[in-house]
Amino acid sequence: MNQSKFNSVDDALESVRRDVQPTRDLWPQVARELRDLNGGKRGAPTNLADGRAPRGVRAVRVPWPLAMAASLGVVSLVAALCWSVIHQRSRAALSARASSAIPSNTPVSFGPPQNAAYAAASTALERTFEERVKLLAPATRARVQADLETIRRANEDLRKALAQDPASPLLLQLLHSTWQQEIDLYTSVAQSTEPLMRRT
Amino acid sequence: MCLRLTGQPALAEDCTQECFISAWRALPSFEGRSQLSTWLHRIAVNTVLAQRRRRPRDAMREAEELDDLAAQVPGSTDASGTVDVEAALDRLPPGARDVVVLVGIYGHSHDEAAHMLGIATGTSKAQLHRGRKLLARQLGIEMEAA
Repeated sequence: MNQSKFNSVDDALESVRRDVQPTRDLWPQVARELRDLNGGKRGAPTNLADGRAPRGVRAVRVPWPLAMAASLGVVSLVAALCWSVIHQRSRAALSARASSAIPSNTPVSFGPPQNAAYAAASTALERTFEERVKLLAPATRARVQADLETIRRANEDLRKALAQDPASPLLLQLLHSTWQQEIDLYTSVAQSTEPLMRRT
Repeated sequence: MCLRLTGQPALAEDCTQECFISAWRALPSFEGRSQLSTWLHRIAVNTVLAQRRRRPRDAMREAEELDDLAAQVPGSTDASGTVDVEAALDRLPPGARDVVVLVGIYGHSHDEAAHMLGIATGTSKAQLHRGRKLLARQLGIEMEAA
């Protein structure tokens, strides 16, 4: 039997990548199927709440499945630190949307939560992340930075999609998940480099 | 997840496409009550299971028997001489692999995994134990530490 480089099965499973890039672009086929589902029309997707497209809102052109794949494929755990703030805000937004449709001419902000505690925690975490990421091995650092870039790109795509379809609960939830994932990434880097900091 | 469940890149990509199309179809039923990732994972699992059901029964049985045999022997080694985890995972019998992927890798509870796979929670626990045992054997990990 070979001598394993892992101490346990959990260690081995931890090393398995959760996000794997496909070898080909999956979007064209998906887009074709979705067009067929819509009777060959490239019209606005159905509003989830009432079955109608919102007034004055153009069709969502951003390929949201790609944004979804990007945003979900990177990090799955949510940092407890900011979860409650984000979750609270998400619930409030969804409740508000359920009770009254957002008029198409209402300016809506899709920026990060403005809660002061969240902002302070987020800034502190980001600063720690910037310091600690330098301590990681080059390959790990590259992977972490690639993950962060993917999360931020997904966030940007989702904000664009939300600008066109501000009433979509799905897009809103995905947007919030990108903030959670970014915070989670900061937290995991801070935690994994903690032993190194203690040694110095 | 599709890749981990199928162990075959081309098939996994087909399943991923089907998964997104199914998700689009099912969007009206998504009310935001559960985590979106859990909802999507459930669709992915259903897609993979449906794909498996489409395979002829004899081919499926033969494949499972081969998988069982393959899982009994040590897996391939990488450049450093150690066993490749992903290869070991791919060699697990489908039932055990499904639970190892959902519970061991993606962190779902046994209840969630059992619900997604349409099996009993006890079966999920038994399959995880079986999968971990086979993985430990393939990876050369002492069972006490596994």
